[in-house]
Amino acid sequence: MVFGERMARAVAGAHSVGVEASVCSRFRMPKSDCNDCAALCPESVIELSENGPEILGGCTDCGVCYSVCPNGVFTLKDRDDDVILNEIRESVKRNNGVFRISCNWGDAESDLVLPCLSRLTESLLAGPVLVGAASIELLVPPCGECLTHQAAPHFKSVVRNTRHLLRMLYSEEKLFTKNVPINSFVEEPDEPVSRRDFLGALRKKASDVVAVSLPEIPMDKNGSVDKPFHTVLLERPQNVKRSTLLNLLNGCLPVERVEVPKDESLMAEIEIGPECTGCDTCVTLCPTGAISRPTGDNYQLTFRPHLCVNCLVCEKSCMAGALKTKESVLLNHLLTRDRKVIFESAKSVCGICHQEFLGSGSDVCPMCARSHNKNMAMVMSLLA
Amino acid sequence: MPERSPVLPREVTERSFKAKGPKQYTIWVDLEFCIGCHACTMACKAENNTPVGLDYNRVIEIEQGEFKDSTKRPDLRTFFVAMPCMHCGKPACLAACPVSAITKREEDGIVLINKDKCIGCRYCSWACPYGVPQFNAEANVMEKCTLCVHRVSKGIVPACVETCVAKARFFGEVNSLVDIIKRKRAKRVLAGASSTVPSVIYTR
Repeated sequence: MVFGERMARAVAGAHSVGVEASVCSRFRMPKSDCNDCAALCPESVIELSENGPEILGGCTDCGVCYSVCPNGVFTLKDRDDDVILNEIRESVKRNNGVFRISCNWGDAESDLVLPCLSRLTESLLAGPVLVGAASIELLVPPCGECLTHQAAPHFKSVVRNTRHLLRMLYSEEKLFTKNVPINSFVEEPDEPVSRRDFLGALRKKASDVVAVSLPEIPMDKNGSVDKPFHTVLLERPQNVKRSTLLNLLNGCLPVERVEVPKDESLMAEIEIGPECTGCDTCVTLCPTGAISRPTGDNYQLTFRPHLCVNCLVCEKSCMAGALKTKESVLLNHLLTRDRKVIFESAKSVCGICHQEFLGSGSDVCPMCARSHNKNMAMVMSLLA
Repeated sequence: MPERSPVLPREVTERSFKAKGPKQYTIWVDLEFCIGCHACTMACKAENNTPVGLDYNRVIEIEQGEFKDSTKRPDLRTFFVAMPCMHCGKPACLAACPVSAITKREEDGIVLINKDKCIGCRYCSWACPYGVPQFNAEANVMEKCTLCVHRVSKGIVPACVETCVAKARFFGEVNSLVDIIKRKRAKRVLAGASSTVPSVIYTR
């Protein structure tokens, strides 16, 4: 495509949501059935394939996809969590009482207005009390009446997760919700807007969009560099959503140990059984690098729960069935940021293929032993 | 060409060889004529430039019977079974690959590993009932017989078929090969029965 055409397309179909497809579960493990972003997009403009997600025209920058995706595929160039948290800090400095959060459609006064309540992340919802507010009041309209109610279910799980977090940090209740009516019509502005002001604002928006979009224009559809898949898997750009949360929690002390069911947790806790063959698939496919394989005399797998986003790609891809997620997860790992060894085994070298394998009882690796047996079985069935 | 005895066993039907896609190309190996010279393995190695220890085609030697004492005639036979990739109709390797690096081509049914996508986890080798995919340690990827797809797409037979000294290997579309076998009334048509529906045909 000619540069001018690309520019025009970037401005016309402009949105400030960046997509880092390489950390998407569908990209890393094509058989994954994760489709949270596409299902919850209020405008239904996300198309998912084994190349990851693609945002089509019509995106309104609501940021729900950013909040929904556990892996951090989406980045917001305009108002990401860090920018909004700074706004929250300024607001709490002025008034550290109750901090109210509402959406565009909620008919209520508030300190923070978001395009949709599902734009909330645990960082944004817990943020106000963590920076000094007395409590948080979430103003909830009847989402079913909203034109873009598709995304509504998500904020309920954010509220639930945040309650777990706050329970770990405070002994009294800090998060309250209140039902409010919905804005059913657009209000007239208090003062009429002049044509010059209107066009000026539009021009500014367009040039902002161009400035923000320019470096991202890809040279060809598949990205600018042809890297082997394996290399792309190991690069793992930072998960901004998770690092924002970890920075916010930095230095906080817990008032209690909080264990939550694995379906209600921001992280998974994994354990590895003796069936492990040392294939490193979990290490390679993990989108955040929570599972690592340090070098050493023994084969070791280590796990850092605070980096885990509960995407379950490791559990689903383990063919040996050795990797399992625990039924309940200790949230305090987000504060302790520990790394523990979850599997260790001696290694031997196979006399036939000269590759390392786990275990120390044999000279031949299980792969070569199986191959031999398979070849013999095949031959016997042919000659029977 | 020596006479081949008649009789096609009833249990092997044409259904076993029905290609899944529009066409399935495959290799027919006649065990009666294989002399175990390994020329196919070597030709394949030269054609595909595989490293030491990694063979796309393997020839397995089986001895049957026993060498009796000097008063009786020895009742001994050696069989050589040459095994390339079976290019199965329902490949277990394809189903097992966690990153979908293995695909089966529509136009000729050839099963290929995309080495740019492979992460070297060896699940395909675990899953394959014939132990076909092998690990290339230097490149950290899995490799296997490609049915010489680079030759086949230009209309040339695979290297192993062209080179076979005893003329024991044939290449063609599955259904046409089965027709030839039936017409020549080969001794047996063996499918190496498996749920993965292997395409390679063996006769004896």
